Amino acid sequence: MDDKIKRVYIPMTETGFYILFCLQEEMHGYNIAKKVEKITNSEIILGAGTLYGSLSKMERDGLIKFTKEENMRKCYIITNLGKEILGIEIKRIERLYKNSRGEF
Amino acid sequence: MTEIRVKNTMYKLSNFYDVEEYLSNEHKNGHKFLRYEIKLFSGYFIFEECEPADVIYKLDYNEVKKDEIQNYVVHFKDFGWEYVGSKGYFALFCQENKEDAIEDDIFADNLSKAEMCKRITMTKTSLGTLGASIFCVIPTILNMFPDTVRITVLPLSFTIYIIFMIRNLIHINKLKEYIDNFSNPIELIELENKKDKSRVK
Repeated sequence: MDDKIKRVYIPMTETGFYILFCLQEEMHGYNIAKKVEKITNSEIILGAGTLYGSLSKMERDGLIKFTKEENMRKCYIITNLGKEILGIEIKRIERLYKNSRGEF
Repeated sequence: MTEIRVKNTMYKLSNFYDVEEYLSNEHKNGHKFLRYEIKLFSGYFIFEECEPADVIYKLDYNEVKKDEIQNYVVHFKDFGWEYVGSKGYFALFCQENKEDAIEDDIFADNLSKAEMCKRITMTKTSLGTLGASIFCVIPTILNMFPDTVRITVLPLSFTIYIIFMIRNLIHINKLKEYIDNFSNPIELIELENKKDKSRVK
């Protein structure tokens, strides 16, 4: 994997993580925001600007790809590179979680 | 409907968060923003009279391709933001400030807000570099003209360039201060370290 992509995306911001996590299913921007709100009990509310900027950036870097347009809304899905990054990030979070509970 | 023109004096409203606040305050006073015009190096805010209302204005900064502007507008509309207009890479959105407003900011976290500030800073810096390189070309071209033209044009354009650069630097500095105000210092240090590492590579 490209070392530079790894450096930029790991560790991920919370919003970045949730966007990539949701895109394991094909989705458009607003649906991502709704889903994140639901699974985090409204603790994380994604803004329109944050989402638009993140989606463009992730598409440019090849973590996600554009699939289709639905009523003027662009749908995306995660790519293999994105899955790889997400996998590394999930392992990192699991380690954090274990360590924070006093397990080493 | 009569239009009200207000000149944007040189340093007064140079940053996006000043503009957001200004437009919101004007709307409370019954002045609805229509568009921004640039004439002879000065910017003008054009308003029309309206019922006073509590409206939030937000500026987004993104390089949106022409054929994607509709997607961009629909995307913001989903979140309750009305598209007002664009100038360059800036797009203005507004939303009535109600209790049940979907969200009052277009940015979820400070990091993405800081990233927008960085996009603005980068454009300003590259504009400066472009200006500087033009200045290497101008004297060469002017050599083809008589002395009288050279003596008048060169100092004049040089002065304009210096003023432009100073303005840019002030903007960039203000943006940096603004980022420092809301950013988590540790996140900023991490970002700086990442940048340094990629430079070494």
